[in-house]
Amino acid sequence: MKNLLENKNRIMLGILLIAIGSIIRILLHNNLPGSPSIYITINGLTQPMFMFDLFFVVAIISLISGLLLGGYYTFIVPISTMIISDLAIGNNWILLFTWSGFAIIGVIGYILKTKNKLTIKNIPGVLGVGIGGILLYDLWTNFGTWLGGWGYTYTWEGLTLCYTRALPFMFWHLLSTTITMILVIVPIIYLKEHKVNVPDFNINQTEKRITIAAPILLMVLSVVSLLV
Amino acid sequence: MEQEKKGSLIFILKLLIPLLIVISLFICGITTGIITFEPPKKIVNEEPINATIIIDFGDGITYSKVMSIYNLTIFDFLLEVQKIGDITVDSSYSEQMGGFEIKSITYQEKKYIHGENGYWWLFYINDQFATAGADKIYVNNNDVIKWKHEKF
Repeated sequence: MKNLLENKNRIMLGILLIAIGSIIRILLHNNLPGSPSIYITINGLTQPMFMFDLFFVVAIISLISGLLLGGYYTFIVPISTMIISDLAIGNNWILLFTWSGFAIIGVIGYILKTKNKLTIKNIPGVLGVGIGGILLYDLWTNFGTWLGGWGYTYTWEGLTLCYTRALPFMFWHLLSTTITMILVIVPIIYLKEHKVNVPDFNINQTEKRITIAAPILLMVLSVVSLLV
Repeated sequence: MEQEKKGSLIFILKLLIPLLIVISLFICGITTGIITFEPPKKIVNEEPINATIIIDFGDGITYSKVMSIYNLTIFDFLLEVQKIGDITVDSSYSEQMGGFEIKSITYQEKKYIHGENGYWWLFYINDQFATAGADKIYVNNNDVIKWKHEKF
């Protein structure tokens, strides 16, 4: 009975996160402001310093699903959020890279949870790992852009050009997600440490293994989908 | 008590040091001119330049022309082809993008619509994909500008 109730709460929280992420992404995707007048020149290429997108919404949903729900929800929540909102907004061949990228962020949140790192003392570490997750996401998805041959040559120059052109997105991802992490994750850690009722679910060994294996499988599928 | 004070100081430093590094890098970027608050300056060519425009309609039909132009953006270069009467370009200003956006290009009485059936008008400069707007980049001498109606 206790397990059933626990699972029900977990499912409800998962659905709530998916709903929040999908609704925000669908409602706001057409209402983003233009780039601010800050420009950066790297390798002779001048471009806006920030390109706005809604990465931080799904990134935070992914991190929370890993931190609070764990297990299967670590990848089910971000991927479902992306599938639902992609059905409304649309996506392209890069979708498997973005989906697996968010699943990686979810797993990072889950690893933090399993290592019992969610304490006020560890807030700088949690923020650092979160930032590491963002960098990993950008490295991975931009690698996909390059691999997909979207106008970039399959040379070292093509790869560096692809990463250079993606810098405005990466800077925005780092800025927006760090601010959102401070606003969302830090209060969760505070509540958890002060014994406020933040849910903690039991996850068995099989679920743990599948949680780690699923994003890896998705990453392999992403590469295979482009090569085939 | 001493240990607790030391712990608090380390905690604050762990948060402050990365923040100070980011602020310092930003200030260094401004002072060295890497970060600016003005858009890229328009390249003014004294003489007309030669550039090639290729339009790939995505169905096997391709249009190509070498033209002598003077201080044109990639978008204006496309409009120059329209002036010759070879193509018809339908475009509109997008507030969201902060620039002009191609709606369709008509060639030999066939209209190729931006976004229809997943086909989008994208452009490449010397075979490299460009992320900035076509009305923001100026064509340089001997550039090959390729517009492609491709599935994305």
